Amino acid sequence: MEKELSRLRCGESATVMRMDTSQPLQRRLRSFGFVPGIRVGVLNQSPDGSVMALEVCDTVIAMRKTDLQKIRVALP
Amino acid sequence: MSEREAPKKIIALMGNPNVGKSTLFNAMTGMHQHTGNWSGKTVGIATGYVNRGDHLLELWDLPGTYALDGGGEDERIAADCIRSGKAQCSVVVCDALCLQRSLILALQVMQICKRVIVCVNLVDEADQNGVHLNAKKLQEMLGTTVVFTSGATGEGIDSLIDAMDGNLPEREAFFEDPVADAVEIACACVEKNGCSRTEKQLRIDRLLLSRGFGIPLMLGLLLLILWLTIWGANYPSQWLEKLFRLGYLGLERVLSPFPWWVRGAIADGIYATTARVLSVMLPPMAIFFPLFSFLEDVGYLPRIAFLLDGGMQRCGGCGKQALTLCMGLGCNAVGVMGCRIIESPSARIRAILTNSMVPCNGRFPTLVLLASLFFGKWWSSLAVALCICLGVLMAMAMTGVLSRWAERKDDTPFILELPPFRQPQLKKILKQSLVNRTAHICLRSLKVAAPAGLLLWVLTNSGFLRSLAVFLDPFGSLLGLSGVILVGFLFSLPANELFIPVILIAVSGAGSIAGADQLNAQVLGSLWTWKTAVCTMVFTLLHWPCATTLMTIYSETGSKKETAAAFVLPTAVGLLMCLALNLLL
Repeated sequence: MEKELSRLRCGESATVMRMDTSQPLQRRLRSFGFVPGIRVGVLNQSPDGSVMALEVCDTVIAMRKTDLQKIRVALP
Repeated sequence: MSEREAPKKIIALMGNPNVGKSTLFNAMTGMHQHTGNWSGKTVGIATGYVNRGDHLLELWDLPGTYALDGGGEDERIAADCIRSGKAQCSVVVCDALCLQRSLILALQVMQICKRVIVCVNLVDEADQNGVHLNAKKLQEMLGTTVVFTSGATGEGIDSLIDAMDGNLPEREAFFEDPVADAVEIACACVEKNGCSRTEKQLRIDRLLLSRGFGIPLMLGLLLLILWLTIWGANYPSQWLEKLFRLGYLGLERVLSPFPWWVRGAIADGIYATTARVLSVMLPPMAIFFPLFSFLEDVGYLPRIAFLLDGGMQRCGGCGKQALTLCMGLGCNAVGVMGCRIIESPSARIRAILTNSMVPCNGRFPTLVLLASLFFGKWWSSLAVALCICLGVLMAMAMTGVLSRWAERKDDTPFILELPPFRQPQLKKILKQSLVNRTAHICLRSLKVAAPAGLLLWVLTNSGFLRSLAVFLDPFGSLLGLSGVILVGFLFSLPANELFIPVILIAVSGAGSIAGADQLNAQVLGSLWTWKTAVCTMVFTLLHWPCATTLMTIYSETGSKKETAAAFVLPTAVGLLMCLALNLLL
């Protein structure tokens, strides 16, 4: 099942399918190893729910939901 | 052998942020580092030397970089340095815990540089977490020298130095796609028994970052730190005051054969001002800095950015601005420089302009002193906490106002790494924060305080200070302050630490402070009401940044207009707030 990465709940993980993010963000994400095919897990959400903490390539990064809406993931 | 001798080789040390580069750098250079300029930038690259007996190796500690094509200003410095080819050899420091990500940068560097050493750091931490690396295979696949180190235990540092000093074979890059190749290499060489984060770490994060408790816990932590600072600073302050009074009496005796103006200039001018700066500054800073470094070392600061990004986002800023505000608590000039981590140029300017709204270490002791004089022992930490929160809120509000003026909404992406919690090295914290930071700040304020003391004494004796205070008095009382307080703010432009000493010297006049140095409490307590104290605290928080910060803003933005804005903006806010407080209270 495919959906937006921003719709994952805490504790869920999925595989990145497509990234329709802006060029700078894509470059930035690449340096974290965040590319299609990689597995991401959601660890936390910020108090107002606008930021999510993701685990990717053994690193935890925080990203905004507005950016995460542009990333499609597939749930196993 | 002297350091002036030309080094044999220049080696650039680079790597992802937070992989322990600087720890390695210090371990190799024995902390003989001095920061040097590079390509017109004020700071960013630290230079150090490794002594190899008959020759030197020059080591450059570049700012942490995620990738050579990253967006931030600090990353651009590192990338430019590598591309310039000034360094004969590069050491890419990798994190053993997340090798795959570190290798992306390593492979990118290998595409540009011919001589690269890959240094896999934090191997002890990886061992503890059940991550094992196949050294031989890694070396084979990378086709370059690989060294395993641990900055904390010192393991492998000698072999890293040997590798840097030795002759590295030149090699051609063959990595077409760094990301895909990094994945392949990491898969082949890393054997993992478990998670990169332990269950305990995940649980702590779930609590610290949780919806309900995240922000209350953060505020509670702030309050606790302030309470410890105020409560703890009380005693050493009293000892220092006693000590300085004894010193004053001794100095008077020594100077008695000299004419009155020599005595006055040295004892009442230079000595008294310096002593006051120290007794106000030193105790709170000596307690606050270690506590703050502790949070820094554990890895809590990025979590603050995570918690505050939502609010910051609504104001057109980003969570990283919260980090620069935290740095501003130490020193606004450092905070302004720290704004380099913000990728969006316009958001960065907004962060620079509002940074001085958090109290730096020059103003923080003033707040602590006023709060403990007028609000008692228990309420004072709450008052200071409210002050800091007010500063942060005003910074956010002003960022919001400024971003309304911005031509277009910029949608710079926000990515922030949340590092694993690390066991803080208490010894290092104490040494760094007490010896280095506190001593550095004291020296700096002494350099300002001694000449300022002399000048103040001359101005007081010539009656200038008094007439200026009288002249400013109507304006001051309109703001709930007084002429003397405004004089204090005007004269503390070189360094905010001078505020209290200027006021004391202006209030008590020349000579009269002399014997009766029962300082702060009586003098201020008898002259001011709590309303004056509140207005003074607000204006301490919100007025022009000190000269050092202004110069830093100019060198960071390169624009006179923005520097002027950084002066006017907080001042205007402060004036308006004081005016409103005076009318309302």
